[in-house]
Amino acid sequence: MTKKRAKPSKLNTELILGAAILGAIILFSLITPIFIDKDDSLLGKFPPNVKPNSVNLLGTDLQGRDIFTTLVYAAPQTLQVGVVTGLISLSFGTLMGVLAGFFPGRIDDIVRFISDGLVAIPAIAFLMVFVARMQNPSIYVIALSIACLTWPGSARAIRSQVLTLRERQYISIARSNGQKELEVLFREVMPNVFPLLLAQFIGAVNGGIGTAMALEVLGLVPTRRFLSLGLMIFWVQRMGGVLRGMWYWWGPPILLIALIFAGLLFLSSGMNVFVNPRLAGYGAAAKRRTAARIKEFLAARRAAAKGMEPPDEDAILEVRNLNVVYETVEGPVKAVNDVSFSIKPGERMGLIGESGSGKTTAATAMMRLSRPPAFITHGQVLLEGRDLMSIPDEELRRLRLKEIAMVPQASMNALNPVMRIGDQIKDALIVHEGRMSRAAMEKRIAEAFGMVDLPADVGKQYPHQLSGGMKQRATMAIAVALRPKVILADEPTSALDVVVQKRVMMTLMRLQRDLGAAVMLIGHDIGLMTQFVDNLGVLYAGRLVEWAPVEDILNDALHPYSRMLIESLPTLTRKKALIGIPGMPPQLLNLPPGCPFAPRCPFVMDRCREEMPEVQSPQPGRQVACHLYPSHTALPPLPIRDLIPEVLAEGLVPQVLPDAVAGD
Amino acid sequence: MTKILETSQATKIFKRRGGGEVIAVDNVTFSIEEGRATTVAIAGESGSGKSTLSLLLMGQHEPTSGSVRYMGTDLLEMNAREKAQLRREIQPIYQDPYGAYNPFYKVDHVMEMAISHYKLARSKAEATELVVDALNAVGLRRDETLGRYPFELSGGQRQRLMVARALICQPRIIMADEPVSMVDASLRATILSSLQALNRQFGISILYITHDLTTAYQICSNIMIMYSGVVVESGSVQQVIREPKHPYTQLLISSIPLPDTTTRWVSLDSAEEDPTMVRSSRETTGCRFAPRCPHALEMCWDSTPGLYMPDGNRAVTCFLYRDTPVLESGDVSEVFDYAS
Repeated sequence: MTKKRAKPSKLNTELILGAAILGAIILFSLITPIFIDKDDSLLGKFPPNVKPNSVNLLGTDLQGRDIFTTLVYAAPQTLQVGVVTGLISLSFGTLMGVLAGFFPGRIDDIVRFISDGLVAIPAIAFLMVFVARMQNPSIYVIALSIACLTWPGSARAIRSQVLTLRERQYISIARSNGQKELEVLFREVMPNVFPLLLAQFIGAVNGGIGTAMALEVLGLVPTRRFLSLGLMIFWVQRMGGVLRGMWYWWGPPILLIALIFAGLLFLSSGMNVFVNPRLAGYGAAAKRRTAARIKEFLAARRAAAKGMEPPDEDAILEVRNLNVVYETVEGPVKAVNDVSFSIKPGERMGLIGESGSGKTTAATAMMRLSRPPAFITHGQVLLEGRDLMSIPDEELRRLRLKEIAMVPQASMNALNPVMRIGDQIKDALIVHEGRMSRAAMEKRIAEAFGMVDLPADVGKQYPHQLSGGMKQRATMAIAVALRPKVILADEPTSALDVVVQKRVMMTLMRLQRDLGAAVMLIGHDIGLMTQFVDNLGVLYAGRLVEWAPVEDILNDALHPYSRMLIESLPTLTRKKALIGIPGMPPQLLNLPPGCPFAPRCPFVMDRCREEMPEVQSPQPGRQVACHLYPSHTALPPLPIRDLIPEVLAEGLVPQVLPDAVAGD
Repeated sequence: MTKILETSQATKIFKRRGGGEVIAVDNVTFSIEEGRATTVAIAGESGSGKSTLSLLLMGQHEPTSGSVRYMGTDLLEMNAREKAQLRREIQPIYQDPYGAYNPFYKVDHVMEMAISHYKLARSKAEATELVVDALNAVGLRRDETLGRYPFELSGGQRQRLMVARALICQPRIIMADEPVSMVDASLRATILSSLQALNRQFGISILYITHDLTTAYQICSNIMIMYSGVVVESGSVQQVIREPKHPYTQLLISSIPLPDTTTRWVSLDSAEEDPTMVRSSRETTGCRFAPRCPHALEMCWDSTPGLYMPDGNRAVTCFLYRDTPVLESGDVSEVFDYAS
């Protein structure tokens, strides 16, 4: 059973602050009119230029208007210009953007032609000419004129959003469900455009206020139909209010304008989290906290390393109680949980696990390359006795590549796209071995390519000029150029076709043999592991649940998970009923106590749900973390009948769709 | 016998930007017949043309030459009603079980849409019954899946829901394009069994497009191996996979890493020994596989092999078998095994 996951709260300080500021301004302009007389803002009602006093709270201007009253009536109208402009601009922009994005071809071309044309027109200059000729325009006329020029901005943003959404698979599914194009647009596409619309609306309001204010301040809005903050500034400027030192005249409207823009700014940056959720938690304060935590964990690991047991003489690499935690908004996630194993020199070891089992996290941590939100909380990784988790950064840098190297997943991203392959190897050589003669360098680079079966002239090429298999080899060449003693290969062939995969793996195999290096292969394919490794570790929910020679795991796995994983594999030797592992993969957040596999295990006992099984060794050279041992010596046979969903077992399925059987 | 879906010498050529062209699907003829529901794997590596072929079959690409027909009507000459029928009766299942759901809705949405648009139920109760029956057919329980958002379900559950959705539409053919390649190994088996169950229990033909021959072998009766747009070998999976005849099929099968310690790969001392390497840089106007073929004959370089039938339920596009009978019609489904 799955537990409902709570969506992380998207309310943030910026959003609240923005809403509070704008809310306060709106509330102020709604309530204050009850207590004041609108006529006070008429020309000549009071004597001009009175300093603030009990009657005229903010004094009067040079035309005898009460400044406070004027302000109270001007602020909402400024907002109104913005909101109306925003609404018109966004409605038009949405219509055009959606049409252009969803119906490619002719409609898209026309919309793009018009909007590109409009963007090329300098809006302010155009409006200056256009609006200044109007006779006493109303708010709506001003808003409409501005919106006519600003809609292409939102139209473009919305078009590109719709364009990506249109290609989503659920759109194809909707069509297969018989939904017509317009319905697809409104029912499937539009709900996902909504967050963007909100953000665009704030932007359009902001633009509307800004543009209207620019026109007003310049005196280009010849109107007596409304008051606004921009018009107030215009009169200040026109009548020399600043020169006369009338701070109570120019100060309040400018302050209010600043507040409005600040409110909108906060609102839109707070809104960004909805449109672009990855931004959450990347603030400066979060970064400081993160840096402090990394230091704290490092100090703790250093303290622990002082009292550690002596290293195993036989092992080249020893991992002891490695723990990696991901800090997430919903709480800490134990991605690697007390993992221990060791590798002998020249050994080929495999680490297998499904997505989320922590295999890549573990490998990255072993190189001490974990980046926040991942933290290595404790553990030791001893490379020939030196603890990589606690040595100084400088020493660690020298060991990487030279002693221990990693071939990362997705090789295409691991290479620098703007650097020739040869130069990338050269860099690695210079960093670790200092400068050398040109001839020596050429020789080393050629050697590195030779090791991975690449012709030497590949060095002159850029990554994009190589095929997937060649890129993978190039990444390997960089990793082995310094002849490391340990190579961590993280799914080195996951993006390759089987034929190329076999070639790359055979190259890795030969390389390993020639260098005498120990290799840890990380992956999810048991077949590939079988072909390559001597010993295999099985990860489940961040725990190393079994560790043994690969043939032992294949032939008689001790952990129920390993056994069921092997049973679920299709083979080429015989057709068989495919049995999957029932239930859900583990949710690492709030993992219940006890064995993480308990909810899916056919042998589950009460104890399994309460107590985490310790690693034990029921047979020499093998490790397993399961409560069946030591009372058992081997895993009992799987109750296969119980594992096939009842309804999939033949003959039990109700004939729901007799029509489809009969045919026409 | 009427043919439900058929291609006749279908060819799709894509123009490359900056000149040149790629023949993605080259002269493929095959059919799925009424009353002979089968499971066919269309297998090949990336760039083999298997996905392009599936898009041709669903009418999402137009063939450059040749034709694709559904119930006897050319896909290019269909009226709106026929198009709607095609859309309903060939149901897709895609690779990505995450992208197949609109994140805005609960997973029930895809089922409700199918039922309401195809008018499959007269009442709410009837609709629920349809959904529950379909869930049962793919081994899912209602209380574990319905009423949830996609992110609350596992990849395996989501993919089986997609199978259930396809079933609700009452299709004749399900086109499953790599339906398990993005799902964890432990969850794959149940998805594949549910596809198999649909074929056995409802007589729906399954076209399984994949690069993975082991799953193809497990769930399909027949297979078409594609290389560079050409169907190089076709027939019953038992024959094609267990005793491959085409040098490419042999290479492909020998490259699969099997979970079996008795057939382990050995490391080679030089690239020359490597059977998977490209052997020749010579241009070929004949068999596309000639440059990589260890058995290439002189004739392979300039003439295109036809379909030969060396034994039983199998056709091979290879001159090594030129002394065996020729499959005159070119229809690779003629050699399919419908008994198993």
